[in-house]
Amino acid sequence: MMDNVGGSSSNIAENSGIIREQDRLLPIANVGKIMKQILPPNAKISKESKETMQECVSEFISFVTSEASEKCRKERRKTVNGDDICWALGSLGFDDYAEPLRRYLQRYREQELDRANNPPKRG
Amino acid sequence: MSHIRTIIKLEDPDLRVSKDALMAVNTAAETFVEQFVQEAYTCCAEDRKKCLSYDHLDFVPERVKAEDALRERSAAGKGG
Repeated sequence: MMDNVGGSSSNIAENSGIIREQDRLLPIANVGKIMKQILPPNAKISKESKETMQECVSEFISFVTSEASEKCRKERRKTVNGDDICWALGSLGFDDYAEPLRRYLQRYREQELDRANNPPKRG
Repeated sequence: MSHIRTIIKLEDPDLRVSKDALMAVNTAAETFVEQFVQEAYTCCAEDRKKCLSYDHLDFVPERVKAEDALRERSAAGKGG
């Protein structure tokens, strides 16, 4: 979903303290692509609704991560991990996301472990 | 995924985020969009329209900063 559309990820307006719109939101093309996947082929999506969705999903990300980071702060940990995100989702009422995500994370970790143990052979 | 990292860093620049946390946020964000659009399209279909527009996303509450929402939430919890 978050492929870097349109070049490199910016350093928040070159560290000048100015937050640019494209830093605050996910790329509209990526959001539009996900929206299109869900809808029937004959459905059209207005630009306005893509922009609204862009705002909503960015707010959702901030909402979930701030809850997860609060948990880490209380537990005196410096790094947020996947389990914290799952916990935050459950805590904020997104229980139907949390369980499938836990299973997904489990599979992802197994794959990462497998990749670490069996690096691709060169030549 | 760099965009997600950027959004998180805007919220808290000192926060360290593991790779699997980014993966989890990414997946949750996708699920959020999918579920949201599904519900919006249901409203749209009831409206007999083929174009999903802002009005169909109108069940979106007005924007609230995450920390304000959490503050209200914990205040409500204490009040109960």
